[in-house]
Amino acid sequence: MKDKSDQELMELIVQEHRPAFEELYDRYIKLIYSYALKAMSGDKEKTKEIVQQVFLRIWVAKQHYDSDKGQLVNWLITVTRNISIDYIRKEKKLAEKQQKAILHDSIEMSGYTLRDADNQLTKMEIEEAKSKLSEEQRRLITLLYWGGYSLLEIAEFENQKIGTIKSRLHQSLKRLRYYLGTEGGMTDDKKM
Amino acid sequence: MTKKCEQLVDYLTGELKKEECQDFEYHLSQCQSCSSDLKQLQEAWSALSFDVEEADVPPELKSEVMDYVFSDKKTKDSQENGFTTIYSKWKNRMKQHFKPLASTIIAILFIVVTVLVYQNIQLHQALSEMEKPTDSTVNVIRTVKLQSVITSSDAQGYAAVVENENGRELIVNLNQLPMPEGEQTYQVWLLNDGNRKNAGTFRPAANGKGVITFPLPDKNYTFGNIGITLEPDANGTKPRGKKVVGTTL
Repeated sequence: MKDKSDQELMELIVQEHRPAFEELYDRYIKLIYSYALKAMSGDKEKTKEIVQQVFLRIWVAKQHYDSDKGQLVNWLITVTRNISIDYIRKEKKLAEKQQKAILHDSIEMSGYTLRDADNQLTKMEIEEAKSKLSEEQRRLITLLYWGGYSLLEIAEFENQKIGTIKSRLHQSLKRLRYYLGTEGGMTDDKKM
Repeated sequence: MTKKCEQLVDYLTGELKKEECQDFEYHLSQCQSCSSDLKQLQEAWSALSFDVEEADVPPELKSEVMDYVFSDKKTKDSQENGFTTIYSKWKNRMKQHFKPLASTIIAILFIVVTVLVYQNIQLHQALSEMEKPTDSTVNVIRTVKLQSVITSSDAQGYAAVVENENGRELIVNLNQLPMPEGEQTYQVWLLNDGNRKNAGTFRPAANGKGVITFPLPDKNYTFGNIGITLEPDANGTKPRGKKVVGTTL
């Protein structure tokens, strides 16, 4: 099993091959666990629930992974984030029907396309880049990415128009990418 | 920049509904500016996932996750779609609609109605059995008026021939008959071409009423007049006393 590629593992998992599933666990549990632990603000009991849900979804809904859309690691992060945010929103009793629908559907979106596994970033690099953002840009990203708040909710907190928040996010991400110095990010973003 | 382009950020953060998502993907294929913007934003967005402290995974987590995924309940819950699920869903829905008290009342009413319907059917059957004998029709074949033929009496009445399923029968009904003395009885005679046929004897009640019924031999038996005599006793085969009542002319 150890010499199988991610793609080969997923094909075996589709055929309900349990050893392949366990290999997938061994390969990615550290990433998924660490991510979920942060999303759950360090609560280990909740993190266990999230990890269980993530692997259940991988086993039951593996047809959702589409290798054309990107690497498995990015899909796994997307799934983990969706489940974590679903959990957070339920806890906040903000789990209105519409939001649930958005979250379940968003697994199919192409949010995991572009991360390059061979060029993995470190927490240090991210922290460095984040430090270049303004206070309100950092707050926006934290609330949105980790806090489980929607753009509309954040607009309400901040007493801003939704369009303002959207464009603030746009700017924040561009700046972040600029300071991360990812490939091709230097030329057209100089103005930021 | 079109209105669609404003959805770029919503698409990136997964806030679009499924249909909107598909619409936007079509837009991406048409809009150069959005698709290149998206590429850049996604790099940053997915980089955010690295903003995580590497944590030590508890060694027992693996068995807890595997137990969770492979326990019968979970795999069944997510995959089973058979009859039992549909049945239990239906049952649950019924439970939601009917509170236990209401269900009990309905059950009791149902039992009461069943018992009443059963009793009603039984009663109906019993009744129709009782009605059966009277069901057979009685036809009146002939009626004859009767009147006293002696001046000392006001006796009068009628005779009738009726037919039922058992054959024909003569009924004689008289009022205000003089009370016979001692052994005396009234005797009914049927007259036919000079022959007399004894149709029975009777004594009237204290109020002068007298009734007698007499089965006729067969359907073809006919008679002309009726005569009623006052006999010294009930044993005569021929009239011995005087005629007191006869057919009205």
